[in-house]
Amino acid sequence: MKKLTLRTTCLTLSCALALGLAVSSRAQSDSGPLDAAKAAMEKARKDHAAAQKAVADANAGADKESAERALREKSKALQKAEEAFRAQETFAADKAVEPAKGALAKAEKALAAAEQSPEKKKAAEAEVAKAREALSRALERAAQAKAAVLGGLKPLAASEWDYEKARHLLFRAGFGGPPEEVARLHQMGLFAAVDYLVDYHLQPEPGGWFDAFPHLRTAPYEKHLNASQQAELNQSRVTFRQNQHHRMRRAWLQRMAETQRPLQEKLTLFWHGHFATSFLAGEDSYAMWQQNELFRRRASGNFGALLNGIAHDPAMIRYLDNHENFKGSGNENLGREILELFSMGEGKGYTEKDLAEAARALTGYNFEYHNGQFKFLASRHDNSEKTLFGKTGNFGGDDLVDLILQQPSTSRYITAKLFRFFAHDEPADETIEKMSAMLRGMQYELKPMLRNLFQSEEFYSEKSMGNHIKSPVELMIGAIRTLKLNKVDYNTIDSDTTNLGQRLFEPPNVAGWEGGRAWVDASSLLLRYNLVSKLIASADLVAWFEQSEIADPAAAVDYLARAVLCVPLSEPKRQELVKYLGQLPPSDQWAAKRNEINARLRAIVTALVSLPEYQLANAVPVPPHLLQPDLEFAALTVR
Amino acid sequence: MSQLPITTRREFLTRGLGLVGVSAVLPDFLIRSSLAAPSGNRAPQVLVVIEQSGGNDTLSTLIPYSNKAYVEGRKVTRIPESDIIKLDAELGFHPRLKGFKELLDEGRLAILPGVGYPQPNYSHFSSMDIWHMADLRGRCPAVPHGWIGRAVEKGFGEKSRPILSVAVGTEKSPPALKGPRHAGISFKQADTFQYTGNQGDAARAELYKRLHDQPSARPGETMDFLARTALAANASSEEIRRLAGAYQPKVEYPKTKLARNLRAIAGLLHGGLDTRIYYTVQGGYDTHSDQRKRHDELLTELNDAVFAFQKDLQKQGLDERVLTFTFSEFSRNVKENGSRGTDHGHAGAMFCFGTKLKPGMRGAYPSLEDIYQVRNGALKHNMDFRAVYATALKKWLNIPSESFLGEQPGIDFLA
Repeated sequence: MKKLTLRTTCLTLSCALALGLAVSSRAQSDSGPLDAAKAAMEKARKDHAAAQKAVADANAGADKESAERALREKSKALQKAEEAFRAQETFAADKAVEPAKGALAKAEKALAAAEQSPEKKKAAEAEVAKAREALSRALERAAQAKAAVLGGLKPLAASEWDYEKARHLLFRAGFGGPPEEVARLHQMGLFAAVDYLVDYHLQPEPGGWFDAFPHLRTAPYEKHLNASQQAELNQSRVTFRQNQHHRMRRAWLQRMAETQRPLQEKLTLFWHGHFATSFLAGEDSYAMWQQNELFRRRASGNFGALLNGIAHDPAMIRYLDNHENFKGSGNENLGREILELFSMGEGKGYTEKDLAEAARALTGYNFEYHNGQFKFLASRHDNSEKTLFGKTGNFGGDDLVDLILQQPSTSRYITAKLFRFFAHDEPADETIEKMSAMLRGMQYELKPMLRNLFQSEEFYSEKSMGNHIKSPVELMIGAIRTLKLNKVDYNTIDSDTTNLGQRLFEPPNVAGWEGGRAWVDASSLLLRYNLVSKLIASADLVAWFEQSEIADPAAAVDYLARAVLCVPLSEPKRQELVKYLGQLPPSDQWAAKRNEINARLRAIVTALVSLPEYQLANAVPVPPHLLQPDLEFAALTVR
Repeated sequence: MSQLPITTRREFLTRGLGLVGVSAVLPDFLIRSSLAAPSGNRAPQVLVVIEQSGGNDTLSTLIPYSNKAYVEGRKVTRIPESDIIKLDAELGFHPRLKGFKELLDEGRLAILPGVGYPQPNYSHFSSMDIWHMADLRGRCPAVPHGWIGRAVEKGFGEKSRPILSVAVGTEKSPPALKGPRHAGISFKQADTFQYTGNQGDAARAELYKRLHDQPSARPGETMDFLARTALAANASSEEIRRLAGAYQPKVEYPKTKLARNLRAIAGLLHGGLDTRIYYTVQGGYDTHSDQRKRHDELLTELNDAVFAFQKDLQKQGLDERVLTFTFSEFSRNVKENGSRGTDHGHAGAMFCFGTKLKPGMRGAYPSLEDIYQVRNGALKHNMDFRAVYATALKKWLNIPSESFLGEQPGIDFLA
């Protein structure tokens, strides 16, 4: 077992200063356009100031008017020059990132080569730390420049990044993870950690994913069978689709627990709750699978494409009765919800007339029952003129989606909902305005806005880190990931989340799961305790400690609490746990007493997951006892 | 309402009752811990709801055996006339409902034969939602709370506590129980309704208890909510387990799930728990194929469990306090299908049990001719289920329901 090591921060700090200079001098070598833009902006500022003065000095009348006209022109020119400068600044900051990445890769390579010699290794480690710090600064500058040029939220200062924030990011943008994974994100620095999660397409897709089968079509010979025989065959198809629905739930839960792209699954879950559709309406598991794949494929892509996909989605068409929406005999269910719940928000920027017209635009949007694919019934589509949001034309479903995207309430509603899902329930109007401006500016591409959100001060604010009650899926998947449980029976996880009120593919209604406090009542809280306790009953916790030399019960409790909980433990509770754990034998006896020690450590973790604290996914400021240097996870888990 | 500043049981015990708002979150038996539990017929009246989940076939339960449409529509699922427990020249009980007949003869069963609602929904989950929410819109953002949850809120307001409504036999809280303040208490089995993480180890049980007696590090609003919920959960599970475990029924209950659940309810009633509405579920009524055998078993379980429960209450002297009724999300079609079963229909019978009711048929049997011409024909309702709820709430529990059920006609089935 290795000794605990203290991380030396003063060393990295001085290196960072040196490297920051190096990077800025390198950037200067091709900074011609940036300098020119800066000079132009400064000139525009001067001109603008002069024009302002001219207005103030001018007498009323023709002079004043012409001075004011000049000022308006100068204002425009200044704005343009500022935008041009910010564009150059962003370009230059982005460009500085690649060399910094290269330098880090080189330093890491040198470190790997120096593995044999302790002296060389120390120097190489310092080089790596230096390079990492430089990359972090380059990324920070790029993020700041981008937030400014796109009008997004203010990024957190890289120096504010700590272990708790890394844990918060991993839990909210994913489903949590073991201490070493949190430590790795922490070590990467804020901006690289966010990129790692957001640019998930760089990670491999999990293997063994589910492939569904429609099983809807009847064979030609069936028409010669009697009614009872036909009913029997139909029943077998129904049974198949129900079984497939079960297998899909299991497979998705397993995917969430095992994926290396946690944000993709988290977003897929978000869209499933947003465009809520239930298997129970049509009992067509194939259609549900197709929809789930749509959410996954478009999870962080373009919201417009996603909305368009939903308007063509057989499961949604069936769920909201659009298969019964025809010219002359309309059903406005999908037309209503597409505005009210899926894009603009209830009562935000549309009239009752718009709802009816939206439904008319969607007439004939149907699906082929026998193969589960979208089908447009042109003869049942209402081809007459419609007036939507004040525009008139012979609109169809595609036009409807385009028109919806032009409404300002759409970007606001979507960003507010994403913000609430990922951060907290009470965003300031200004926050939503900034995020939605970014979404609109990027033509509804979600990724830049999400990246900016996960980098932002707001995302790591006390409000955000203080009030999220885990959904049943977050609770169970979080436990599996945090404690690295394998041999999990996902049938059990499925029935657990069902009993806790969240069965996948069966949200209670079109508004999705209510969430928040609605997840927890007296009965479900005990059930949460019991189900997580049962889940971890076979966890091997001794393995966690094999890399460290923790013999002190207080240090062991702190280690486990910090790994399992997202909130700090109160001192009295901590003391109870320390007292229960008692003195641990010296590490050389652990092998012989593995079962006994495991049982004791498991009792501690079981007690931790059976606390109100465990229901929260957050990280409020940490009390001093958790900040002791001997709890440096990076050092604990290095192999 | 002021926030409860108490978050641990120790604090509660040391600081006592002088705190405003305590009753909103603490289980009642903690508050009146020094008071003797009221029992016997003087304590407040209680409603027991039995959900027959899946859609019970009323035509095979309360059988219109001489009706032509029944005889012609039911070839395989028809109950042979000689087996039927005849009530008159037209109607009879399913042969397994001997206990129902006995209770009817004793004046302890009222039958509402044609209950439903306008514009029937033939989907299990939508129709079940309509019955749970008592709203034709079903469960949706505009209707976030169930009828029992809203009744408890109306009747108790700030004094409302989870223990007022208890669902036995289901870990998943029934939507009907969900109210603005809480969702009642739900558990699968009274004897296992407890924290099990300590695996029977006394030291770990002690650790669990001590941890829950200690305050949290930084109690924010959400943390307070969770800590108070934990306190209520631990206290109610202790009390429920104790009462159900100590209960000595005066009759022998069958060894079925429904009987076990009703036995637990009798135990909690006898023990003096403050619950006003109990809820339990008997599943399996979705008999699309080979209905006869399955439906016979279901009605046997229902009959035997309800009969034992009613007799037990009588012997315990609790019967005058308790009204029990059954419901199902819909009944089944007039004509059977091709797989010896029946598909989703509409109106169906509700059965009400108790000592203080007006026995017998309390409404007309729905027509088998004037029916919804969908699929194999669905019965039309002649009584709205919301009127039944409203009557039970008003006349039995003394809770007015106009504010959430609207103006409903009274149904004449209570004494």
